[in-house]
Amino acid sequence: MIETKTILICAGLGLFLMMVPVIYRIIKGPTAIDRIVAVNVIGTKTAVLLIIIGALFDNVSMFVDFAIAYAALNFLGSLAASRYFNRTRPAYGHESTGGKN
Amino acid sequence: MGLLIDIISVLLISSGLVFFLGASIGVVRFPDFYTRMHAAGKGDTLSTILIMSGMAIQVISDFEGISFLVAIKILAIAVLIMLTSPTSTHLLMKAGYDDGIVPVSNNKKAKINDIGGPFLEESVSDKSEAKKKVKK
Repeated sequence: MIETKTILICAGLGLFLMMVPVIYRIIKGPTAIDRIVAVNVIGTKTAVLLIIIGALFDNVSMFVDFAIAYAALNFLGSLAASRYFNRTRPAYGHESTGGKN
Repeated sequence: MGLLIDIISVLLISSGLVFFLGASIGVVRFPDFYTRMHAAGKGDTLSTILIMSGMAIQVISDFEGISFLVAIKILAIAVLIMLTSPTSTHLLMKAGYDDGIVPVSNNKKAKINDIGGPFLEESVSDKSEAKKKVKK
């Protein structure tokens, strides 16, 4: 009989190992919005990973609040970034049009 | 009962991991900004919901008073992500489209125009103008 914590450790480790190739897209990504999308994916998965860590420590009731805050902040961050890139168009470089568009 | 709960939660968590594997491979391997958005938006949302449901079932198996509240909070995170992840995907896609990011296509006339925005309509109108010139 496999213990529950072994399953949780395997799930968390698998989740972390699958987050590693997304970091490649953050470093390499040709446009700035590619990087934001990859950061958004990793942020969503970090909220999941926080719950798994809480279940490992037998303290989910504390970690679930962290996860709620992390998910909400992640959404706000991507929202602000999308509004910003809608105005300044620095997708292919760092130059901006000075808010003309 | 405990074994049944374990089996259900392991099934949910492992299927969520499979979907996240698809999402991460898609984010790395797809050739284009829009296709990467497609992989990230769908796979990420579904895998998050599945893993959260599995963890909620795992937590609720204690049958205590507080664990029901924690399970409801976990499901609330799942609902929050189910609402917010497609919204942010839509907004980032719109920002990229207004930036003038060109999708991968066989149409070699598609290019970034100066204003940003509807580059596809421009190439289509170019084609129709070329046809008119040929007719004349």
